[in-house]
Amino acid sequence: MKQVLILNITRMGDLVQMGALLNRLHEEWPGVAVDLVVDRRFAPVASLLMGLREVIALDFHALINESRALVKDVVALYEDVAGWAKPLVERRYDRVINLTFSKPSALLAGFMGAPDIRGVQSAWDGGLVIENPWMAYFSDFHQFRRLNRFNLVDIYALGGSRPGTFCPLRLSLSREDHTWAREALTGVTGWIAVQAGASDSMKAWRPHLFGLALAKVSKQWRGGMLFIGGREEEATIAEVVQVYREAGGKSPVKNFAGRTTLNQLAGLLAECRLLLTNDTGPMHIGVAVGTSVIDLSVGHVDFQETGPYGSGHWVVQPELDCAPCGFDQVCGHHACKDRISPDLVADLMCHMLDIGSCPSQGFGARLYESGVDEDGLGTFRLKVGTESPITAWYAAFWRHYWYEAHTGSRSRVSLPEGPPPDASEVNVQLRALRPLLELACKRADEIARLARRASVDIPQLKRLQQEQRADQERLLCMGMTAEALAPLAAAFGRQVRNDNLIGLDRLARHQAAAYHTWLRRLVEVERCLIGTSSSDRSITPGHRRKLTVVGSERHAA
Amino acid sequence: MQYLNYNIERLRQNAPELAEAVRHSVGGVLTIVPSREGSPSATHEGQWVHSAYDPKKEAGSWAEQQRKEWKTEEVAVILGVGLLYHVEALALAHSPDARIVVVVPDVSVLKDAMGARPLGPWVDRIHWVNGTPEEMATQLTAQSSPLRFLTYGPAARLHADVHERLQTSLSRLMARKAGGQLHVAVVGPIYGGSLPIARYVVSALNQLGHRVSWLDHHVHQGSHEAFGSYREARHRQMLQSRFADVLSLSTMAHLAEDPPDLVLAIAQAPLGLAVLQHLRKKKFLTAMWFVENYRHLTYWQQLAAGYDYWFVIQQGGCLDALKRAGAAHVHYLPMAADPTVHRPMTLTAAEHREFGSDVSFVGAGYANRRTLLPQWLSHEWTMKLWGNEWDGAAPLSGVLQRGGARIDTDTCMKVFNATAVNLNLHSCSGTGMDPQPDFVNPRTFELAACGAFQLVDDRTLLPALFTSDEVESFRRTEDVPPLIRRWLTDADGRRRYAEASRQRVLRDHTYGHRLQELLATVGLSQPDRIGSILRGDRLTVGLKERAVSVPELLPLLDRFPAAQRVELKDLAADIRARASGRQLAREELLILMMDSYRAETKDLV
Repeated sequence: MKQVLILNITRMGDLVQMGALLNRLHEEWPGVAVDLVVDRRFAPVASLLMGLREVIALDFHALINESRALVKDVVALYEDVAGWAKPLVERRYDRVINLTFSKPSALLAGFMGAPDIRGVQSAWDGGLVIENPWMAYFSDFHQFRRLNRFNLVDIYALGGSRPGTFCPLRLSLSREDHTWAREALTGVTGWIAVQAGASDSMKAWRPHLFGLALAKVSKQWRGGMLFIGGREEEATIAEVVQVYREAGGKSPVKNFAGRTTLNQLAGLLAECRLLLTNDTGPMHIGVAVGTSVIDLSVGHVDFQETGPYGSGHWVVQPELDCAPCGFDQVCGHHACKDRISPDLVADLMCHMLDIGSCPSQGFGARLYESGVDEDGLGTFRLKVGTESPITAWYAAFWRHYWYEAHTGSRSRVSLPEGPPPDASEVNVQLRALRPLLELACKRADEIARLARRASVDIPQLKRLQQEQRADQERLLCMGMTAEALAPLAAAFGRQVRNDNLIGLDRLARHQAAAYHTWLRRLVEVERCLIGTSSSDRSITPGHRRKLTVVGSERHAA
Repeated sequence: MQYLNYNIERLRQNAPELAEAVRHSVGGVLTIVPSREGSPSATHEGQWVHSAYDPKKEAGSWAEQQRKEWKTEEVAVILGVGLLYHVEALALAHSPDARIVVVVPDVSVLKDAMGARPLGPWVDRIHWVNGTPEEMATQLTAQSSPLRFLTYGPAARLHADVHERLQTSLSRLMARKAGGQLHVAVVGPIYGGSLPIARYVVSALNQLGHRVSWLDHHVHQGSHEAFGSYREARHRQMLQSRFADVLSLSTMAHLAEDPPDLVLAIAQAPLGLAVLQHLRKKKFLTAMWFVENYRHLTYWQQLAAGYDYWFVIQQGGCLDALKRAGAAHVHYLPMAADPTVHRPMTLTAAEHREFGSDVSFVGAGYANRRTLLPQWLSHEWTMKLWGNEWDGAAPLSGVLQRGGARIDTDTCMKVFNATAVNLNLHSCSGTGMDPQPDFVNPRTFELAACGAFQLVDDRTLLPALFTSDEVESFRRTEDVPPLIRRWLTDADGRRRYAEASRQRVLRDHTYGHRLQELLATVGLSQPDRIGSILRGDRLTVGLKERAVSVPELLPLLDRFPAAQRVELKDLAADIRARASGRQLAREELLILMMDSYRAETKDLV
């Protein structure tokens, strides 16, 4: 029997989002035993997932608190953690999948050890490396976020297992959970669930806008409004309800924030017609129990990464140059939140409740409808609003490119139509970068040749390495400047440092290989972007026939 | 009383002297009353010492509660005797190896217990301490293991004062034995009288060999004053309050980047309740030395529940008030002096002319001083008045120095040294003598440390700090002129008093003494944390002894000198420093993993 250990430690949403991976692992290895390491606080969520043998919880917050505030000495701390971790090592897992992309989780993955470790892990000297291409992509794409079109759910499944058929997110709810929820929601027929808070205020739409949107819906909606969230969100909910009432909201309101178990919350969401939410853990629970979701994607949230997975959901995203902002951004204005009009949200809600038509104008926001693409991956289709044509073109291109590059299979999703909008500029950039990269490859080969010798010429090697380092900086700067080049440069930047090798010789060969990979990819991309015949525009060998081009609505104004 | 002889004989087996003392005591402190369940219970002055319904069940619950705190390697020290139900429950709930000490402030209570019910073989496992608080403290320090105080409230209430003295004595004894190095973050105020105290505290901790991070908010004084310059009070209050919040957050950021063993705030430190509660949630230990008159400055009411430990300069009502407001631990810790700052000085003739006089007073112009000082002017002696906030004090304008400018510490020391009779009048809001003269101000200690002679208004807490041969005090306004007159003519007497008071400060009242006592008090309450660090348990040698069950740690610990304190971050730093070109062992990966979690700060700031 194959055994897999998944490390997914810290977030409710991430746990629900690994549903497709669990399904895929059971497809890959029927009868596989999958264990999950999770923070104790999230163990109840994990218990709702299907396909796990054991949920192994540790109080990671206690570990942080007790080590940081010096509550326990190093021996006591080590005894606690080693006592918990050593039995896991003894299970000898066939694969460890680390979905928590952090340094400590990488070290934990390294400590656990396995013949196949997916995701970030510790190298032999304690550094961090990623072996799997999808997991590597996951670590790279924050450098070109706007071009990413892979949902985390798919990255987890592709990286942790392999390509496969589409599988919606699912949770295992008991009959008691459903019964409890039905009894809790008596009084009116049909409920709209509202998650107005969020773990980070950056990613929460403004409470008064929630109130206005709900008030407008209540003019046509005969059901009730159900508030969910944590107890710490009480003040936010109170503000929403106050504005809702003041704006004439008449529908009955129930507040379950902080008053349910996770099972009960999932049961409640399963009973609702619709969930209006910020991008939160409960959003994914809503998706996983089959409730339609409207995701308000503000702040540093990018729905393309973490939006509702599968068909039947909608996303509202502000049209703003800085949206979505970086993960570590400290924003002084939160202007993106004001770009989403409560009227637009209300109209979209009415449309989803079958009591109104689909909004035709975004008034500063975009509307996306979720779906499943031809490769069986989650996707979002722009329905209202505009995207930058360049971003839209390259996002579609890179979606196609990486899928084929990392799976080795031909994508059934077509490349974007026509040449890129900035073809002439790209041509110039490519012609500037390519000869330099070819030179860099030669130098890397020379370094590898020197390092291989029995008697190494240290001064010469050092000189070449010094030149290589200086050049590398320059090449990376050039490579990161354009949508046509940035993903390749980011991948190279990671790959060249991604060395889990002992010995100068091996290290030099690894670096030469990274340069050659970059060059090979650049040539492929060049052929796709400015190739003269349509057959030039396929990436996977053996599939160079004319492609049907779809996705024009991505760059429709 | 049918069980008395039997129980005393049992006690005699391992505590013959105590058994004899019990036999000869009068007893009768407790009133024995049958409980509903049938077993004997007891009352004292109408209040129940054990449950009126089921004393055994209640004792069992209490013993169960203590399991959360009491660790097997610690000695449990039980405060509260009663009928010993709780001691029995604790003894029976733990293995025979568990070490339990019962503090017996009054053998008569023990006699009542021994007469009320038969005591089983568990008594043979109990160690008893009795005598004066100081004697009991000495007996307790003889224990080789950390002490964990477990208080059975209803019975401990009878001897709360004895227990407090016991813990104070114990703190002092422990302080002398402490050898480990702590990291203390001292959070100072933005400005004001507690600012120099913060400096003295930092200096004392450094001298004691601890590592100190000083979060000196004095650097923000300019901004604080700028926010206080708005015309409308509401604007001033709002901006200064928000500014204090920012400084609170800045303190949090500092603590996140360099977490200490203890956060020690000095009065007026800008730390709000929300931040304190967050710190507690994140397991940081916090203490406040409230070097203020609690009756005048009442912000402690909002912060009482926020700090883990309060140290105050008043007793009685102050301790009760803080506890009522939610403070968990409150201890008396009087002011002190810093002998490196407050010291005898050799002054030049010019300095004698500038700073010297027969009589002087240094301080701000509080109402009581404005009323009383003019009464002590006389043509019989020269007088100089130093300090600020004397605007409008016309009768004193002739003696006010430097136009009422604020004077620095160095000038202050010169005045003390150059003056024959230093007046030390504690401030208060009324116009006469302080109606509630309890605490002793820093000036008392500073004058003494300078070897300067002083006349200080009498304080209820003064005799415990200085004898009447060390400091001369006065109770009534009218007593002052005759005292000045007398002492001006007795230079030898002044020198004798001054030297005696200086020696007393050096012996008992430096900031070093205070900080030792403060840390020992926290250590006593946290035997497995601050206490263990102070005992040196986190030195390499101690860690290696405890690493028997994890032998893979030994080679990593061996890399440190035996007497060095080693924490997780030190071990990880050593591994990282040696990582280059080397394959790490599994235990090293685990240490690095734990250290990565330790370095997390996002949940703090």
